[in-house]
Amino acid sequence: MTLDSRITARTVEFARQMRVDILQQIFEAGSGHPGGSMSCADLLACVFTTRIDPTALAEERLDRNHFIMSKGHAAPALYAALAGIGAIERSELSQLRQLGSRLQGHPDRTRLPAVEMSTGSLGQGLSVGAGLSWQMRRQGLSGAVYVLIGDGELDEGQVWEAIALSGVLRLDHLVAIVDANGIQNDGRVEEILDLRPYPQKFQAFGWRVKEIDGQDHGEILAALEWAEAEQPQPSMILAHTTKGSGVSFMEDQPAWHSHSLTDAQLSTALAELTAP
Amino acid sequence: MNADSKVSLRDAFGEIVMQLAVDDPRLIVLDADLSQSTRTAVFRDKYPDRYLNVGIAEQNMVSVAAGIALGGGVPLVNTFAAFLTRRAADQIAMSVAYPNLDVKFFGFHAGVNLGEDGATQQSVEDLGIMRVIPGIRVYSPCDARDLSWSMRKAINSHGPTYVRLARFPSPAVLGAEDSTLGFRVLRRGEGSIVLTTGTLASEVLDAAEHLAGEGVELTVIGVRQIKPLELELVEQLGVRAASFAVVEEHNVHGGLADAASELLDRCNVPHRIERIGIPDRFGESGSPRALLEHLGLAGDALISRLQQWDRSNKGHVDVSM
Repeated sequence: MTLDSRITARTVEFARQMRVDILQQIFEAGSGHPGGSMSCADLLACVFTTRIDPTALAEERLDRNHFIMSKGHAAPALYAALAGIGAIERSELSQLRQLGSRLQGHPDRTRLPAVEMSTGSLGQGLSVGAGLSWQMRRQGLSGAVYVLIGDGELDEGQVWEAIALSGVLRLDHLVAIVDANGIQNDGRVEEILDLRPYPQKFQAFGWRVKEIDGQDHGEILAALEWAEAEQPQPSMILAHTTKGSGVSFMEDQPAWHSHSLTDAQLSTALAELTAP
Repeated sequence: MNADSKVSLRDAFGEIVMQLAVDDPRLIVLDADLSQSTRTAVFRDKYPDRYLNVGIAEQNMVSVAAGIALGGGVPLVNTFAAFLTRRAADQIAMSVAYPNLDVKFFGFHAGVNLGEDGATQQSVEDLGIMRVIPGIRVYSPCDARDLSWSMRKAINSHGPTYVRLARFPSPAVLGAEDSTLGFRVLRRGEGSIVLTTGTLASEVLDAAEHLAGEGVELTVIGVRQIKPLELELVEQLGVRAASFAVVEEHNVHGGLADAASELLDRCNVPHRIERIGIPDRFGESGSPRALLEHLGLAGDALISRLQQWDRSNKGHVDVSM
């Protein structure tokens, strides 16, 4: 087994557990966004296992990698990743969306310090990441800022303001990861507001772009390394993903954008996810 | 600053930022293509690595400021009050106030200061918008010394703040009396109380002086901290019952009058407020002075309104007390 394949085996198992945790959280809460949480599970698994130091989260320390979940409705994926790296207890996941819980329906940094930024009103996370990255560079601090955004989220004009500014400022430690699952609340992205092709648009604003299969851990890990190359530009990882990835009856189904599961659906899904 | 000369709050802002920046390397200045109006050029030239002009993109500016605050900076976010509080209201609430980040907002040319430009550049609702977003402290200084007080209060404690600034030179209204409170008694008379805020305070004082010549001695209180209003203000307005006028360059809804009413309600003080503000309408083109007079907020129009109200208030106070 090579080093790469050992890492991949670890991230794949991490993502599998995340998917189990995502569905159980949403089942117990009775509501939530499974489709977009499942689509980004592999991306988060790779980032959190290889780029995020669980002991440094929620500390005052700034010279480290940072992660901002701009598509805040995928909060169950973020909480599952935080549980996976030990930043929160797995048992706390059952509190999602409950009154008084630290696990708000969309992430809240004031309640849960391991969350770096409160998000949920779409389109703002990349601007926040740009500001953080600019401030870190000013102070000579090492570390990258990873921002996960949805392809539906690209509809928000502010995302393009952030893309423009980051390109002009040459924020070389800013890494945007687009979870391009092709489906937004009202339907397929190309039927709502078709902004494709994405790469040429990002490149025109001064970004480096790498297109990958966002469910392939080898490609994700390679892209994270690619983003660390010394280039005077921000990096965009355009990750083509499948909404609801990992559960056959959820995959590529717009209905699973925001939806809870029945007992039977949860059993079927968990059986798929735990099959040898 | 010479108390006799007129100083515009934006010029004072530029000077105070330079004073504060020397000792506080956390301070970062942000602009959205209005740096000539916000008087930040001296800061930009002295501290180019602490300055960022994001272009005409206020929403982005606010969220970028949130990121700078996450990175340990204290960003001062500057643009016209209208573009800041109307256009970027969601970013102010969701990128800054909800996550409780240390971002300081400055709304320039508030009220109808940008007279000839018309309603799109004027802000008659900024105090209301900022007041109802949870967790933001709101300041509306009456003169340059108040501005200095407000900026130091804003910057020396953690959390989001909004400071409302005016465009035109205005006289110092503070006199000798100093205070650590968020309001000051600018004029003490035997008669009715007038509450005001911002640089309109000098207009109210002028009107009060004129009325003194006719035997009406108003008390004028300038409020520089709109949120939170302090309990000490209740002692000035009346602890058993209160009847006073509020003069503000703001919609009669959502501004100082509502804030004062809320405070008195919390203290169970029955009250009646004469709201002399902008009557739930947008502004329009005209010279700022002509516009203020047209709205009854300056000159003879203000004098006349205060005089009429004072007459009726005397009767009202007698009945309520």
